[in-house]
Amino acid sequence: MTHPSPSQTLRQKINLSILLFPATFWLILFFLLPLLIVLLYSFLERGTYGGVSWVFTLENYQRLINPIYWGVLTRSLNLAFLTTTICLLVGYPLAFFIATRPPRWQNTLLLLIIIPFWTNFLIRIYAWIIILRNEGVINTLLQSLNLINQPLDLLFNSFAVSIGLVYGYLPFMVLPLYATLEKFDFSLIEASHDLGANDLKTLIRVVLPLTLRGIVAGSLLVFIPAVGEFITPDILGGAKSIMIGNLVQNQFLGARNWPFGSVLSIVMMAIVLVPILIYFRNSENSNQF
Amino acid sequence: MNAVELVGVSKVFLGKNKREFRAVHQVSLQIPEGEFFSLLGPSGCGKTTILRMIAGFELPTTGEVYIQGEQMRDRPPFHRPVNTVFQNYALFPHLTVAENVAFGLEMENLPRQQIRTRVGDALALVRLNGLEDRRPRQLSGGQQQRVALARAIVKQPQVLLFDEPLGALDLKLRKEMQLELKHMQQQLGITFIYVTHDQEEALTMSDQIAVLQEGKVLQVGTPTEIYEQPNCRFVADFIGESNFLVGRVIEQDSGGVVVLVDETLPISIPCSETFPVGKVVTLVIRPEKATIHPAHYLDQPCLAGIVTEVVYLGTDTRFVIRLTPQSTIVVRRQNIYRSNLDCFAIGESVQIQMASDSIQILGEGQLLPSQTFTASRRENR
Repeated sequence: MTHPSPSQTLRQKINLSILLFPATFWLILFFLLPLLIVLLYSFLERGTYGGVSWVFTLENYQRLINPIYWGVLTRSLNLAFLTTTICLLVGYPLAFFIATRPPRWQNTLLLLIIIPFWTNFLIRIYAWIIILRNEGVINTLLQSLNLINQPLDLLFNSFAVSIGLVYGYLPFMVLPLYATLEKFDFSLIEASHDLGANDLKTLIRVVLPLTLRGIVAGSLLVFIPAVGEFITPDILGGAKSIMIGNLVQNQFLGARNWPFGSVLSIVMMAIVLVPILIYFRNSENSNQF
Repeated sequence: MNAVELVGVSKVFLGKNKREFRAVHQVSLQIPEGEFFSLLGPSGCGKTTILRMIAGFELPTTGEVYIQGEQMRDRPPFHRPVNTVFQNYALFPHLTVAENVAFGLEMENLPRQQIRTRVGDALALVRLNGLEDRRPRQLSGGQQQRVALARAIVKQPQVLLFDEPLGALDLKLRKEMQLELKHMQQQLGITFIYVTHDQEEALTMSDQIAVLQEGKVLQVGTPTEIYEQPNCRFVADFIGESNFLVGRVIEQDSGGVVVLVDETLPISIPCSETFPVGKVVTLVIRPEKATIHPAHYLDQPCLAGIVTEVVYLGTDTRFVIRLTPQSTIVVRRQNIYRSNLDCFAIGESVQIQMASDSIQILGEGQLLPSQTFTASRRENR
């Protein structure tokens, strides 16, 4: 586009706002407004039968001092971090493998990554119960091989939740990584080898820095929803592996304490905001090349 | 000692449906130290594959690569004393110019101070001082090319490999860089192995040229040898412009042969090689080595024909002359005088004079009734 004259700019602005109206409307109605309601509720007292009573208070925030909530929060962050790390360690070689196949194979392999999405998430998580439970696939197999006498406790703990999270979010890691690696100029690897860098140095000095965008994007796409996840810990986790998402769900539905649920939501959002800010700073820097 | 030696090197690629594709076939080359050596051929002739086998990006299917007398089969690219200037430059986009050039030295774990000095020297050599902190994307094509060159030269390799490095530059810049590369090579004394499909580029820069076709080396020689004494029709055709006259040897004595072209046209050529009477041979005549005269200008026997095409090309004029009903010959005449620019018109009868020692005889050729004479231009392929 050429540089517009001032009058064109105004017309373009009007055109643009008309075109953007549906999206803007949608975001205001279903994103900004609910967010403001949650923020508002967090400063109100709980109603007797759920809902809120319109009295301003900071009590809900003071409740956060209770270490129980910090324990849940820390566990959520740990689990999300672990999930992201495992997804990255598994996803990066996988995405690299796919991106280096001949083009006709790449689409097939990507399809295989996406196919699980065609099944409902709940059903896929329930399927892990069948795999992990005491009479499940893994324990039966190990016992029939006489490798163990007692069934291993694989289900209803943080381990099961991690597996569920990694399983559920791996595609969100692989797809942005693939998108970055697919555009990666593999002749740079040859250039690096040519200049005396072995495979490891090439990975660290050339491939990783140039695919950092995909790594950050994938990590955020996994980390952010994983922090707030409540279905997977609900189904695969026991009482000891409750995550902050469960807590929020519980406050709104079980305890019917909407204001405190709002506080927890806001804390969660604040935490998630940190990596997003890092991401934006990162993408500003990488605009240089 | 040879800087690089290839012994019976072949490379077979497996294509779709496991079909074998022979990219390089039984290539043996000796590339002496300190020489500017070009691998010249049309695209798909295997020249880049040969370069990649020297660099170590590909392993020969059979045969061996030696660098400085050492066998290279088990040496990965990062342990070979060669560096490559890539066709697309392959500069690291996330690093600055200085960081790009320093990359190879950092891999050698040299002290910081030494790296800085050598990077500065290399950038000075390619005249890029002052651009140290730019990123490759902020440079012009010519500047990127220089960074790629500096990045390879700074490693002070025994052998520098070039994969059509000037292909993306415009003509003027390319000509400049050709001379600059040649000077740099003489100054540094490094062996340059240079892949190109541009015959002019190869002639300008090389000490020796290897002409390749379909994975095979056809001829190795100095630019003069390659141009003046091509050993086969492909080389004569690929390097410069050539006329090919196919004929039969009708007389043979110690001094030379007489070839009967087109069953009507005897041409006698001095030659040291012996060709038996009756053998079909091809005469290679460079268009600039023939002179065009008005009819009946010369008393001695020579080729005669009718002008069918005149193309003014600035430095010279290109005439197409019909010798017999089926065949033509191309003659170029340098435009030295303005006054006689238009002296030969289409339809005019002319004589063609050739120094008989500038005709090259090839012991190959096929007599085809309709194609006894062919004038072919490299550009037409």
